[in-house]
Amino acid sequence: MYIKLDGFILGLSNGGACMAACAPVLLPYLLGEGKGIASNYWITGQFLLGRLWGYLLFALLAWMVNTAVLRESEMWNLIIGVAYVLFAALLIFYGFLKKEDSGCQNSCNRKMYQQLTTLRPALFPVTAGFVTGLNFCPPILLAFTGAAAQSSLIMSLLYFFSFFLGTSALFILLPLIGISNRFAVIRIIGKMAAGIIGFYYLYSGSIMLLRGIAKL
Amino acid sequence: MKNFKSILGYTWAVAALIIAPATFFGLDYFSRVLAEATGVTVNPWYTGGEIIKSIDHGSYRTLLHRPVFDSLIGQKKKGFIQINWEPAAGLPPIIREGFDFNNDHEEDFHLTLNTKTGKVELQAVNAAILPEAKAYSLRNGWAVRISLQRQP
Amino acid sequence: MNINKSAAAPVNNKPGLFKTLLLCLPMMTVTLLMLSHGQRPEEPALLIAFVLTFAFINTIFFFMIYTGETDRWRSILFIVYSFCFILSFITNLIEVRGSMAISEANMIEGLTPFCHIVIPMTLIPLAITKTIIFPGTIIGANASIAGMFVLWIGTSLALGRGFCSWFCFFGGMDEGFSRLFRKARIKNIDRKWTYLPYALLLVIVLASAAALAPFYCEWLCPFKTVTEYQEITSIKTALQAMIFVSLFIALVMILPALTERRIQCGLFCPFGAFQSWTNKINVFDVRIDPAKCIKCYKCVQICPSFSLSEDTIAKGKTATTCMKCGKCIDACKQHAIVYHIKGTPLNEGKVEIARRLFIYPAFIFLATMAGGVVQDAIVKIIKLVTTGSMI
Repeated sequence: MYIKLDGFILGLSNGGACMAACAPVLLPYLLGEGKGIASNYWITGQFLLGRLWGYLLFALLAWMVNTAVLRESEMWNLIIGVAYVLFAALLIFYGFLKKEDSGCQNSCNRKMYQQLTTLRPALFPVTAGFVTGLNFCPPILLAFTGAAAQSSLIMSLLYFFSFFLGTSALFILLPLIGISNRFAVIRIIGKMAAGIIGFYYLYSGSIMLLRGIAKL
Repeated sequence: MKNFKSILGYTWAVAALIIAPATFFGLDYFSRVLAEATGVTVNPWYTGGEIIKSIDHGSYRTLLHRPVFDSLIGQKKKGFIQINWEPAAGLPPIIREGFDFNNDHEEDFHLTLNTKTGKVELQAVNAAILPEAKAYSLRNGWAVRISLQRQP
Repeated sequence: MNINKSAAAPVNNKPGLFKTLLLCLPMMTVTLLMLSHGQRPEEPALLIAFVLTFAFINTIFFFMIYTGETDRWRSILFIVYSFCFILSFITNLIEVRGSMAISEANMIEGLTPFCHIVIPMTLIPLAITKTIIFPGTIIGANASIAGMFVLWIGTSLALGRGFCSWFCFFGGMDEGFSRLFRKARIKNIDRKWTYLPYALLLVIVLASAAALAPFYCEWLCPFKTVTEYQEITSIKTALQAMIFVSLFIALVMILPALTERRIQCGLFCPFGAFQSWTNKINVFDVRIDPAKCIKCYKCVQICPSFSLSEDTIAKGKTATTCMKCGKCIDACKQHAIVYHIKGTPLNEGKVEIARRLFIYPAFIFLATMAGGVVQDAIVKIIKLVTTGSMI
């Protein structure tokens, strides 16, 4: 299968922070419902499937932005460059400077998760995955820009799919639970890694921006 | 168990005393063994890749390397092909040579290299050849790298 | 933990003069062989360099044994080694290649000396493509790839992350600047930054595998400033050079001087983070005896690699990032911190045995690595004085 390496790397570098952010949602459920490692993997698989749907929806949106705004635009480099620079700066801020909070939007959705666990437990993993996937955090915004810069819908979908694979790599460890006391450390490392990747996107965005300005 | 662990600990500590000088005294030997056992080579993006053709011109020879598109998995979209001329002492002032790198018995590109100035001119025939050629002055001759794009 | 409660008074670790000389004899023999390669240097400059280096190294070792202090003497040799390395390396580069800058032609010819920092970046491509993503030479050349791998494996087996305080030719620069002032100007450093090397390691390993090029060497290595760097031919290479110089000034010079810590080694170096894992398999570690520790936390304040904290002290050991430099051991007035061999009891009688079993191999690595470059630097200085040129 054709993997978009830049999307994969962006996802993988942020995977630690993603897992640490999603773990508080998924872990209590695994501890409550999981009946051994095989069952935990099954639940995590459903959760990731939900997240994949969320990401693919982003890819679709990115493609729509591409066709509606970017495709015919003379200022393609300029727009993508500005987006990269802005989101990269945001990613650097998120990676190195932002104080720890309760973890993305997960805390806001806690009530919803609790209700879902009680009323429709079978739907919980997929739904929770979908909701955590639809998260406007800096890495996803950068991935959105990357996907919008692709030449076709398939490529945009592949870009987000690669991003998904990268962010999911560490989830392999989640069902083993044993590393749960390391979440705080993994989260810090993941966020810092994402911040470092932010510098790469800042550089790429600046180059695009300069090209865009030169074309004006 | 405590004694066993203790003996194991001291054994490794004493082994470290042997490892330290052995690492230096046996450096060449261990390096050779490591290189031979793993069969590892330098990545073709640096070396130019394996030589697929060698043409003898009397006072000098031409070495054509394989096209390099190597990626971690699969192939990159853009690559290059490298040609070397050596030895430096036997090279004429101007080299003009045509190359068929895909073995279809048709010339894919033609190069003119000025071995005094390093100026290189490229005439591409094959669509895979990109109009980017760069010459490098090496200790034992010259090398030219030509950019290629992967054909479907 | 396996601790035998010991008597209150610390054991005197200082042997007498005769015993010290006896203990130094094996090191003198090994360094004699290592420095001379079994032959008497013929040229006067080489002979002078050999005698001076041999005397210097063995004096350091003598005091290490005689005083029972480790870091105080290690650091002198380690710092001298590092600065001599720069002198020796740069002059050799100019002799071989004519410049500190590496051109693309040099890369094609594999003329770049391989350095240990590249190792973690090479592993994924090595496993998948069986190639090394570095423009060096596998065997035969100076600082060949296979040679550096062998040195790294040997040092890791013998010392673990002790590599960073007893082998690394860059670490002494950081350490040198960290000892410039008597007092630290910046004392409070957020411990979250100790995770930065791991984040950097993750990124550079992935980026290098994706690009099939050593990302850290191309973009982030502060030591490019004093070794070699890619020829500046474009905005990109100019930007890279600016990054190298900025990082060197900030991380190797200014911040270590202000904090008295090895900032580059402890808060940035991805190889250091990678090397920390070898501490898990290495037999030597540094332990804290809770029975003796009075919780003054002086060791926490001075640890160059941020490997000690209240938490680690409570557990009686250092973090995995410990570079085994011995600074905390020298500084602890209670003799509560000691070199230790895993699996063995932590009792008074065995403390000096464990220390000596560690410093012999550690010093052999340091002396051999330092010996070569210190000799070479002395030869270059003699050349400069006598001929007006180092080359």
